[in-house]
Amino acid sequence: MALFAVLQTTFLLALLPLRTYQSEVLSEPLPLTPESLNVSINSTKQCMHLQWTVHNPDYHQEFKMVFQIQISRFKASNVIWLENYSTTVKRNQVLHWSWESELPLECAIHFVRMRTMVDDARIPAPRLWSNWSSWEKADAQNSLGDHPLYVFPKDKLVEEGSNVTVCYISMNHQDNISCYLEDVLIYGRQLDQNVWAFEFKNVSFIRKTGTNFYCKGQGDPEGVVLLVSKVLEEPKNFSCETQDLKTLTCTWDPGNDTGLIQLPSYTLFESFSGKKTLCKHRNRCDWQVTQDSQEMYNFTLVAENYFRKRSVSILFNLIHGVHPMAPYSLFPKSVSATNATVTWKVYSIGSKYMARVRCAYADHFWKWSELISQNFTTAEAAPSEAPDVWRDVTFVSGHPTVTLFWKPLSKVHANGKILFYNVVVENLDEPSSLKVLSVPAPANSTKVTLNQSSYQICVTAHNSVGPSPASTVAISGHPGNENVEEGRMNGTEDGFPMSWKPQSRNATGYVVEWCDSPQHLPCVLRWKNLGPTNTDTVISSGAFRPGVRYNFRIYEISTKRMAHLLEKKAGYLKELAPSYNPKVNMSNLTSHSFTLSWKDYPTESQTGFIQGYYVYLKSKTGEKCHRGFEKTFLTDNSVCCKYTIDNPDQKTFVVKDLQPESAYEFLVTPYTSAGEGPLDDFRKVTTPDEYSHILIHIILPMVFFVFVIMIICYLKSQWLKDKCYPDIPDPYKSSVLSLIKFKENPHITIMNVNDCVPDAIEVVNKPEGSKMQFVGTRKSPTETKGTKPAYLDLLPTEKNYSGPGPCICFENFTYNQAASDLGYCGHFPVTPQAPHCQLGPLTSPENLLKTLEQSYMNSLGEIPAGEANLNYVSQLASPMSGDRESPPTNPPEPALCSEYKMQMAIPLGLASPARSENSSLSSTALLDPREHCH
Amino acid sequence: MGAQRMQRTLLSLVLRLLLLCTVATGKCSGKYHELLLQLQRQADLMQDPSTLLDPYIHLQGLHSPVLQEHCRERPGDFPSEDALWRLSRQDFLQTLNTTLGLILRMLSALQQDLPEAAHQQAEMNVRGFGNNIHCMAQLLRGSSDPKAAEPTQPGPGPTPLPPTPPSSTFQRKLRNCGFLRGYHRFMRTAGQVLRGWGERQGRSRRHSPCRALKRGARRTQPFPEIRRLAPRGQPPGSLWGAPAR
Repeated sequence: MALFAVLQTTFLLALLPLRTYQSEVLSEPLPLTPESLNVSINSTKQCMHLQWTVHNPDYHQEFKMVFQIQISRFKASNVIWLENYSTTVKRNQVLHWSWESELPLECAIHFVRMRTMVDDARIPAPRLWSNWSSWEKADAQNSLGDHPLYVFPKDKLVEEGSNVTVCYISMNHQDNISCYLEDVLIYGRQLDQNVWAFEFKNVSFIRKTGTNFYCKGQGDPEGVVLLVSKVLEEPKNFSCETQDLKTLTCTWDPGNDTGLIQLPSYTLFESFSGKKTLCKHRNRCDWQVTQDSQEMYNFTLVAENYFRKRSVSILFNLIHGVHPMAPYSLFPKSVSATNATVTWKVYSIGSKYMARVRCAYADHFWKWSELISQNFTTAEAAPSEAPDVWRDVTFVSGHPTVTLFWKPLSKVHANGKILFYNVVVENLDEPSSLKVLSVPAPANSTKVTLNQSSYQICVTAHNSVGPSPASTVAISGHPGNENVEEGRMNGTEDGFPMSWKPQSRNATGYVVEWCDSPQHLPCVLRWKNLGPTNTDTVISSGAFRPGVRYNFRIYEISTKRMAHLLEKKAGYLKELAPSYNPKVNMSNLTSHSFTLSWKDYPTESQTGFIQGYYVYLKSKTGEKCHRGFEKTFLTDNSVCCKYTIDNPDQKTFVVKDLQPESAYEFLVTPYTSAGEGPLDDFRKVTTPDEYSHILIHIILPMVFFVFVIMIICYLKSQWLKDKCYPDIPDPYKSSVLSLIKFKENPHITIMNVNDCVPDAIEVVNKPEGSKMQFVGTRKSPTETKGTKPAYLDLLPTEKNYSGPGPCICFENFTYNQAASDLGYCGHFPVTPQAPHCQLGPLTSPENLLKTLEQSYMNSLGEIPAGEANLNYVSQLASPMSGDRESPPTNPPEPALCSEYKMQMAIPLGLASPARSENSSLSSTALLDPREHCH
Repeated sequence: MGAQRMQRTLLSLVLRLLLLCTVATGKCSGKYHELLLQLQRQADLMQDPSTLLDPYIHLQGLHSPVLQEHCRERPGDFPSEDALWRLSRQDFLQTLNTTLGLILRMLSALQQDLPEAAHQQAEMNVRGFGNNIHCMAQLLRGSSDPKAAEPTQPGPGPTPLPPTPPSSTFQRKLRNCGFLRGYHRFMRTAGQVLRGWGERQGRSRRHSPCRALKRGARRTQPFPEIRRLAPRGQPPGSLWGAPAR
C-alpha cells in the first residue's frame, strides 16, 4: 500500500512540470544585399579583386551564404563569367573574392555585380536570392596615359606549353596597326572598337630575354615581352661524396636550363639531422659533417622555380662515399736494377688503404702497364679528440646516481678502432678515493652511484695505441637549483631557436640537453655543447616531430666543469590540434545545470600548448545560446553553442540556465594554436524535471519513514493492539477521554453504571443490525426533554432472571444514529455458562465503579455541548451494578467474568445534555454467546 | 656659374684624392702622340657596334627592321658632336671622363641583358679608355700647351643623366638599345675629336695641351662624377637593370 502511494506520488510529480519550452527558431531572414562592393585590379597578376560586406542587423552569429557573382566585359549585358561563391559570413564581415582573367584586364572594361542567398540549415526553405547589386565598373584603362597605343599584359611570366592572350588598345582608333610576334606579322581578333586580342597557344621558349610581341601604328612601337620558362627538370645523377670526412659534396645534373634570368633554387635537406642548406650552385652543394658521428644521411634535393618543385633523395653512408685526396710526397727510394721503393703520404681518413701501381716507359711514354693492387693498413694512433661527454644526475635517497653518456668518436678522430672507454671517478672531498671503470666499446653510457661528495669524472676513449684526451665533468653531491621557471618557445623549420642569459662571467661553456623522443621511455638523451661566447643556438634534429612537446634544459658549465641549470624551455616543432578530448565527468545534474570536470586531462603531453577549452552544447530544441556561449556551426552544419575557457588550468565547468527535462549534448575539447580537438564525441544528457529533487529529498524519506513505521508496527503489533484497540478497551485509557476533555463539553458525561437499573437483559441472537426488545424498561429523566435516551438496565428483574450465572459478559456496541433511536435499555440475561476469566479487575466492583464514574464525570464535564458530533461512551457492566436508589433484589455476587466488548456511539443530539448525577446514558448491549470470554 | 665651377672643382679635388691611390699607381706614358694615338684607337674600337650594340640586339631579339628603326639614340643621352667639337681639350677630357662613368654604370646595369663576353670586354675598354684619359690629362697638365688654357666655348650642357627607366621590359629593351647606339656614336665622335687633336697640332690654339693643363687636368680623374650621375631618387644598382622578378 505504501509502495503504491509512492508510485502514485511519483507519477503525479512527473506530470507536474509539463511545460512548453519556447525555443528560438531562426525565422526566415530577408534577403541580404551585399554592400560596399569594391572592385580593384592587380595588373601584375591579372586578377580582379572584389571586396564587400554584408550587414545583417538581425543576426550576431555566423551563417552560410552563397554569393552569385556575374562579370561582364565591355558592357554589362555581355556576361562572361558566373560563379557561386559559398562561405560562412559573420556580421559586418568584409568578404573577398578574386578572379584571374585570361584576357588582360586592361584590355576591356569589366562590370561586376552580385547577389546573395542565405544557405543555412537553420533557415527554412524556400531560400531566395536577393536583388542584384548595382554593376560596379572595373576600368583599368582609366589609369592609362596619353599614348596612342598600349599592349597588355606587361612582362607576363609563363611556362612553356601554356596559352597566353595578348591585346592592344588603340586609343585614337587607328586602323593601320600591325602586330608582330618575333618579327612575324600576325592578325588578331577584334574584341571592341579599339581592342584587338591575340591568343598564343602552346608557347615555346625562344630566348632567355623573352619573346617579343609588338604592334606599330603611326608612332613608336609598343610591345610586351613574354618571359617563357622551360619546364623545370628533375635533378639527375644526384650523389654525394667526401674527401676528408668533414665536408660532403653533393652533385647533380640540373638538366636543361629553364631559360630565365632568375634561376631555380636548389635546397638540400637532411632528414636525420633536420638541417637544410640553400645551395650556392645549380649543380653542387657542400654539406658540413657534424661532429656527432652521424654516418647515415638521408638527403633530399629540392629544385624549385615559380611554377614547379622537383625533388630527388638519396640515402648516403659517409664511409661509403670517400673519395680520397691524391697522395703526396711521392718519392722513390732504394732504387736498384730491378727494385724500387716508392714512398708517399696520404691524408689520414682511415687506416685501410688500397694501393695500385702501374708503370710506363718514361723516355717515350706510350701506354700504361696493367695495374697491380695491394691492400694495406696503416698503424693506428691514439684518438685525437676527447669524447663528448654529458651526464644525467638523479638522486636516490639523497645519493646521486650519475649516468654518463658519450658520443663515439668520428673516424677522423678515432685513429683506429676504439676498444674501451675509461671512466675515472675522483672524490674531490677525499682525494685518495679514486675509482676507475672500464666500459667496453661500443657502449656509450655507464651508471655510477656516488655519495654526497663532489666528484670529478674523466672519460677517455682508448684504441690499441692509447687513450684520447680526457673529457671531464664535475658532479655536486647535492641537488642543484631545479626551481627554474619553464619558458616556452616555438619551433621553426630549422629547429628550436633559443637564447639564454649567462649567470656567470666565468662560464666555460653551455650545454643544451633534451630528449629526442620524449613520448617514448626511456628518454634518449641528447645534448649540444656550446662555447662560452654562445648565448643562443638552434637545436635541430631529424627526430623532432610536429605535435611533440620537447623540453630543453640549458646548463652553464663553470670553470670547475660543474653544470648549473640556467633555463628550462619547452616547445613544439609545430603545434598540432589536440588529437583527443579529455574524459569528462558529469556531476551535479539538476533540472537547470550540470557540472563538467576533466581534471585527469594531462595538458603537458598534448600536441600543442593547451590554451584553453571549448565547451560545446547542443540542444534538441535549438534554443538560444546562454550567456557566455556563442553560436557556431559544426562541420556537419549543425548549430551548436560554444563556450570558451581561456584558462588551460580550469578543468571544471558548470553548464547553467538549462531547461528541465531537455536533452542536451555536450563536448569539451581543448584547443591549441593549431586548432581544437575532434568534434565527434558528443555525450548526451537529459535534465530532470524541476520536482525530481523533491521526490528525492522528501518523498523517498517519507516512504522510508512509513516503511519503518510499518515494520515497527508489525513488530509491535501486539503492543499496539493492547494500546490502541485492545480486546477489552479501558475507558480510562481511551483517547476519547482526552477528546472529551479537550472539547470541554460539560453536557457530555460518562454513563454512570449505577444509573442503570439492569432489571432485565434480553439476549437476542440475531444478525447484526437487528433490534433488541427490552423488557421492563423505564423512562429516564432525559426522556422528558424530547430526546430519545436509551436506558440500559443491567439489573435483571426477578421476573426474567433465569438464575444466577457464574459470569455476566457485556458487549459494548458502537452504533450510529439509528441505533440510538431504539430508546430502549436492553435487558440482558446473564449467561450462566460464561467461563471464568479476568476476575482481577472486578473483585471490587463498587470501588471500580466509583472510580470510573468519578473519572468519567470529570472528563465529560470538560467537553462543551455541541462541539462533538459523536460521543463514545463506554460502559462496564457488572453483575451487581444497578441503581443506587433501587437496590438490587439480588445481592451482588462475585462476578466470575466481565468483558467489555464494544463502544456505543451516541450522536450529540441524542446525548443527553442534562448533566446530572442521576442522568444516565443509553446503551444497547448485544450479547452473543459466541463472543463470551475467550 | 661661378659657384658651379667652384663646386665642381672642389668635388674633383676630393675625388682625385680618393682615387689617387688606385688610379695613379699605373704608369702613364709621357709621350703625347703615343697616348693620343692610343686614345684614338680605343675610341675607334669602342665605336664599333659589333662590340656591344649588336650582341645586345641579338640577345634581346630586336633585330627586326621595325625595331631597328626605333632603336635610336635619344637626345640628351650623350653630348652632341657639335658640343664636343666646341670644347677645350681640358673640358673635352672632363666631359669624356664623366660620360665614361655613366657608361660604366649602364654597363653594370645591363650585365644580365648582354652576352657575358661582350659585357666584360666593353667594361674593360671603358676602364682602359678612362685611364688613358687620365694620363692624357696628366700629360697636358705637365706641358705648357697654351691651348689648354684657352677660353672654352660653352660646355655641352648639364652632365647627361640616365633616362627614366621605362616601366615595361619591351620599352626598356628599346631604350637600352638606343642608349647603346648613342654610346657608339659618342665614341665615334670622341675619336674624331681626338683625331682632330693630332691633325691640328700646331695649327690651332684651341686644343693646346700646355695651357689647358693648369686648370683642366686636375679635374680629369677617371669617372669622378660617378656618384653624381646616379639618377635622382633611384638606387644605383637598379639603373636600367633587368626587372626584378
